[in-house]
Amino acid sequence: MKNILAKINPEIKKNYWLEVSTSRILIVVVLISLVAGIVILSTDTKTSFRLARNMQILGMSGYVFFILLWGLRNASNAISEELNNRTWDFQRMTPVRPSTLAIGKLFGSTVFNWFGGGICILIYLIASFFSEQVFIDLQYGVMMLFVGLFGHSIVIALSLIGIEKFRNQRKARTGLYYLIGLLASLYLGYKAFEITLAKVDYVNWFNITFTQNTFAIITILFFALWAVFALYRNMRKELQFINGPWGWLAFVFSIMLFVAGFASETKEINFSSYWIVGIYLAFFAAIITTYIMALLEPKEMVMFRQLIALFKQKKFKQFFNKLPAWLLSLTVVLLFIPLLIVASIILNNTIIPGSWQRYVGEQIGIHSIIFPITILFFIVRDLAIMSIVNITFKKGRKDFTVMVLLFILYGVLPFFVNSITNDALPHMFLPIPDETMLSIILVTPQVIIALILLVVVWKNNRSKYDKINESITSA
Amino acid sequence: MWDKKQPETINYIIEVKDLVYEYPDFRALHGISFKIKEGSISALVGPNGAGKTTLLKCLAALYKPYSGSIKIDGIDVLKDPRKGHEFIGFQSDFFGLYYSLTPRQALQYFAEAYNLPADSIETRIRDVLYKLGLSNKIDSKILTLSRGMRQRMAIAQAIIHEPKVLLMDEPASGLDPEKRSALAQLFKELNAQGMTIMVSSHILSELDDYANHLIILNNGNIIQGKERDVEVEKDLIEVQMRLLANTENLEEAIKSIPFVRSYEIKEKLVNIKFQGDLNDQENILKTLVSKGIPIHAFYLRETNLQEEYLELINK
Repeated sequence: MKNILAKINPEIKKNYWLEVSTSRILIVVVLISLVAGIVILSTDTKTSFRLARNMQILGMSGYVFFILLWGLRNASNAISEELNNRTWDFQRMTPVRPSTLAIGKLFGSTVFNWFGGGICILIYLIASFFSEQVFIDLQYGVMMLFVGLFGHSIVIALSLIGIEKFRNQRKARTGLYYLIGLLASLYLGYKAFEITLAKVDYVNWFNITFTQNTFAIITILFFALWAVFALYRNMRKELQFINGPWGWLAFVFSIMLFVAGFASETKEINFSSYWIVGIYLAFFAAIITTYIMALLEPKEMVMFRQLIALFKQKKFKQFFNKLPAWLLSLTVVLLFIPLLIVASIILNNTIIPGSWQRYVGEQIGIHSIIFPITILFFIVRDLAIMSIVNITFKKGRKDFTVMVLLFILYGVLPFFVNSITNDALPHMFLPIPDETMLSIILVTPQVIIALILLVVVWKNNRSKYDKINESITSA
Repeated sequence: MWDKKQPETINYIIEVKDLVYEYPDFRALHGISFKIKEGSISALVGPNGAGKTTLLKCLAALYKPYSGSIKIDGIDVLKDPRKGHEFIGFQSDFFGLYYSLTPRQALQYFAEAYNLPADSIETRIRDVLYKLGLSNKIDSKILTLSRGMRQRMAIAQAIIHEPKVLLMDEPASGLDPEKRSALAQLFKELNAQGMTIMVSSHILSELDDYANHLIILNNGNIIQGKERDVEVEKDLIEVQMRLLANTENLEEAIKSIPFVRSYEIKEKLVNIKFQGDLNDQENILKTLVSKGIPIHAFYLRETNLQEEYLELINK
């Protein structure tokens, strides 16, 4: 067994040594057997479906415990423990391939969880053969395997993205990544579970009708594969390979395409509104990737200065290779604005179906040309706030502070404002797609103030920085 | 400064040029440049926060500097860090060990990660552990090893792939004098096998008898980088004298003494290094007085790396 592992992946082998012991294996096997025994004894075996159902519940509960609750914790620690134990640099010094290390971390850090979770999912799958809906239950089991793969990949990828931040901290903490991974996995797991409720439903995606089962499998597989790809790409970056912008752009475009397909979900939609809603959905997806990555990735002055220097030197290839993902997403957002303006002109007077009106407006018209620009202003304001916080705060939870500020701006303030009867005020806090154009009027001063503040903070920080270094050099 | 040694063709294994490293709120390295000879043991010294760890991590191609270049064995390690890692060994200021593994398991992991041929791994592990005096601990958990042994285990991890260049950050910190001496011996042995070693430390006494190149770093700047011939310097005696006044024939007078190896004149203060004994010391004094040099103080000077360093830092 050990020799086989050695030939496959040294990282898995190391984790096997660290995580697996005879006593641990025995404890898990005995525990699962005991619980299974209790379930069998306490079930009226005359109704075999009931026994199968109970064993399925046991298997799936065990799987969720081993793979999601516990496994995600171990996966989120896969990188941070190496950093905290100062072994990460030793690993980075080896010529190990990114794919080897990525697979090693993915299955190695959770090797014991996969052992326990593997037994449990096996119990579930075997029990499914004796259930009332064999095929659907088997599908659900397979989907949950992908959910586990997705969750583990995403938390390790997030830890790798966070490494730059951890390097400036005494201890790497990944509790937030665990939480994100857990919530995302549980959500996908719940969506997968919905298909077992024996309620046949359909999903209309790009006017193609899928059964809910098929669509759920495709969706979970889609996200699981992207999560594994994200893990691989971030491992490459950490091992000092140059990734280039294409991987991230491919992901953003695929997410935009995926989301745009839901425009046909509303049955009453016509051709024109189908197009405009689709483009808007894709646009919103790009905005969401901008915000998520802007919160996750480092936003240090050194990076901005390096980017500016590369741009001035016309080293565009290096410039694009160095661009963080949130700036790439922002570029996509910017490129979509002219497209939305043109679409708004061409599809003038299109009536938007009710369910999409709160996002796009009741009708496409001249005001629709202003709406994407209004959204852009809000984005610029928020990114300026993020940069100000990151440049001003030397230590501490910068991104948490930003999240609190955004929550106040988009959650708390509009909530209070809504309770006041002034119709104009909500436009100050949210881009509202109506004909008043109040949003752009009210957000413009905010953008100007945020940008002025950013310039002031930048210059202050720069002169402080120069003074420190001047005194060091002359010392 | 005058030195009798003849210039030789020098093979530099590390070449650093205009290296700048910036942290978000300060510049850690201010465009430093230096070269390290192949087969040397270099001491990188400086106070805490001088930039030693940052420099070593840049050399190990673990940190990407803001600007500048680093060539190790002719490879631009900033452009091709992975290539550099094949022949660089790095031991950080923390041991970086897997405490629940045994030395055999840990080294097997790194040997496989370094793609060493499978059939040579066991021999290599035994060889490295033997060199580091850990053979009898091959199957003990690292957790059970003493601090000194853990230190050697960390070195074992860094040299498992037989690197040409070994970079070590504060390797002796926390070790008792006996263990430090053993570590110094180990460095000499590794160096004798052809490894170029760079050791950072702020404890200078330990570097004194093996470092033959010295780089003093302060506030991200190199304040001195020079060669030291440890073996020769061990045999050299240094005398210092104070003059009443400078004389034109001073240099000529010193150069006329055959056993003087080098000298340095700083206004009315003269340092002379020579190879010899007390009689030769007396001869120096006699010769200089006979040539009319107005000496008013003449005494033996015992300097070491630490004094040299403090003198420079205090400047």
